Amino acid sequence: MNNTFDMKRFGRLAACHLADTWKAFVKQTLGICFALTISYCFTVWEQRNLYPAVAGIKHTNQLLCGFTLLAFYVFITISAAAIFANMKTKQQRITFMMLPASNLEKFLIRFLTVTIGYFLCFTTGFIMADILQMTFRTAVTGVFGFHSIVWEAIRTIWEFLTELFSYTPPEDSPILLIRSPLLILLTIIIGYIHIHSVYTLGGVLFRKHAWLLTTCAIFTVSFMITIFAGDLFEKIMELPFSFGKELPEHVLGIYLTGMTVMTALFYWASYKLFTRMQVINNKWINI
Amino acid sequence: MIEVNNITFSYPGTRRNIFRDFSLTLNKNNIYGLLGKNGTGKSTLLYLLSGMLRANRGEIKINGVDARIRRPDVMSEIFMVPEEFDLPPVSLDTYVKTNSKFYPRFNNEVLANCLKDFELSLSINLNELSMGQKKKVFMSFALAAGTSLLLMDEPTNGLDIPSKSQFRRVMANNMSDDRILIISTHQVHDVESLLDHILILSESNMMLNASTSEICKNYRFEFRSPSEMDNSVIYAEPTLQGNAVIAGREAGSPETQINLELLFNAVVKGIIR
Repeated sequence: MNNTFDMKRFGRLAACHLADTWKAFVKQTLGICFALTISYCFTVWEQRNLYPAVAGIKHTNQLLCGFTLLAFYVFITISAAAIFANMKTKQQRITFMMLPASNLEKFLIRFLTVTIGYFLCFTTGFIMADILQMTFRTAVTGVFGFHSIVWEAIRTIWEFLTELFSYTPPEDSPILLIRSPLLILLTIIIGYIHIHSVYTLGGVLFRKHAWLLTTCAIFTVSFMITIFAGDLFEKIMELPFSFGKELPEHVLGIYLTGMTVMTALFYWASYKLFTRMQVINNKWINI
Repeated sequence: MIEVNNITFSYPGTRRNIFRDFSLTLNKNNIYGLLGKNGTGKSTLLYLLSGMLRANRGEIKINGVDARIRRPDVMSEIFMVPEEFDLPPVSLDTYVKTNSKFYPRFNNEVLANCLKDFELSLSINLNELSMGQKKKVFMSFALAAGTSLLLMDEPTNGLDIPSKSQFRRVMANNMSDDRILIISTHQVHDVESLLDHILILSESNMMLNASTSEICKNYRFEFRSPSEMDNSVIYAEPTLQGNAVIAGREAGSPETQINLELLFNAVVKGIIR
């Protein structure tokens, strides 16, 4: 039996963890459904007479879709700080730490819980809220139509990707400097994963109010970087390099490599901090 | 075997050392009673042995492996029944199905026997149980897990009087020879008939580390009237039945049952070491 990672043991841990947390998942899904339903139904009610039928509904749905995608992004990102929400009390910590599984398996199961698990919670809540808002819309307007916000979200994401890969900027546009749509997509994805890794580290580091303290830390560090490194970046851009139009792509490449390394470092640090966690800790950070 | 080698420990965020250069060896086939005043480190020692806490210095080895690493193969040989614990909102049957697979020597027959003695069934929902019932369920699972090290912190807290008798019966019937059981408790009368080794902690020192047979061999525990008090009395406390005394035992005289509370007081006061 491998003491670092064993698939069978990981499966047992997953089953055990699901038995412990299924009620929390259900509550979370219902909470998301409730919050979204209230937002949708309120908007539908407020705008029921404002616009002509189809255009008005499409406009409303686009607004609600944008709001939901933003809420999804914020929720999934900040939820990373809940990576050890199952270890709030001493009793919970004892239960989890005493399980005969490796530290890596325990860390992974929690990581999957706050990424895939919470993604599924939000998606399920979103679909349920969408069904409820269509029912409410039908009741309010008296007319049934397939005005799904979920479908609007899928369509929006598809259109974004299609436009990204088909867009050709004009010759004199500075956007020509970044010619690769794949690079732009990679930038967005790596940027998101980086923020997720920061919240994961914050979730392991801070004993209480992890998401709030992590958010404050991000703002503080960003502010300090802006003050101290902002001028430095401008000076680098003024240097007489002869890369011509390729310069920003190289800079972007260096930036992406740096971000990837930092992201890996933050996830690794999160894991190492977890392995050093103790059942009783009176400090405000888990070190 | 468990080896505690020169550990020094203070809780994160505090300066007071709970243990300083503390050492201890524990062998299998023993039921240890871990006694001590409040704040002397009984629960802390249990957490250190199970890897839940990390010593600042020194090491703790469970069968040669460092407890701090929390290796799965070592963890599957340790079970802890803490003073307070959480159980998930599922039936006992589901709990057993999901958790028993972590313990290779889990024995369903032992579980069934323990539940029968505690008058509980597998179909109960864990979130509908009282604290005492949860404790019985958890202890039944702990015994059935078959781990070589079983740690119990105040196991009889929350149990009613009949349940304490049930606890003693269940422990006596289901403890196997190849295990180490450490019971940390203030309720000495609940467990004194089970113990075969006494550990008394006081201010991070082990004031007493002796087997019950050794204690019984060297000391007599009895009640004496004031007129019966003589030079053989090492320690005495007045009671309604007369003086409860610890006296030296002469070779050939019958052994007496240990009065654990009296022994504890004598050790803590430094009269017996």
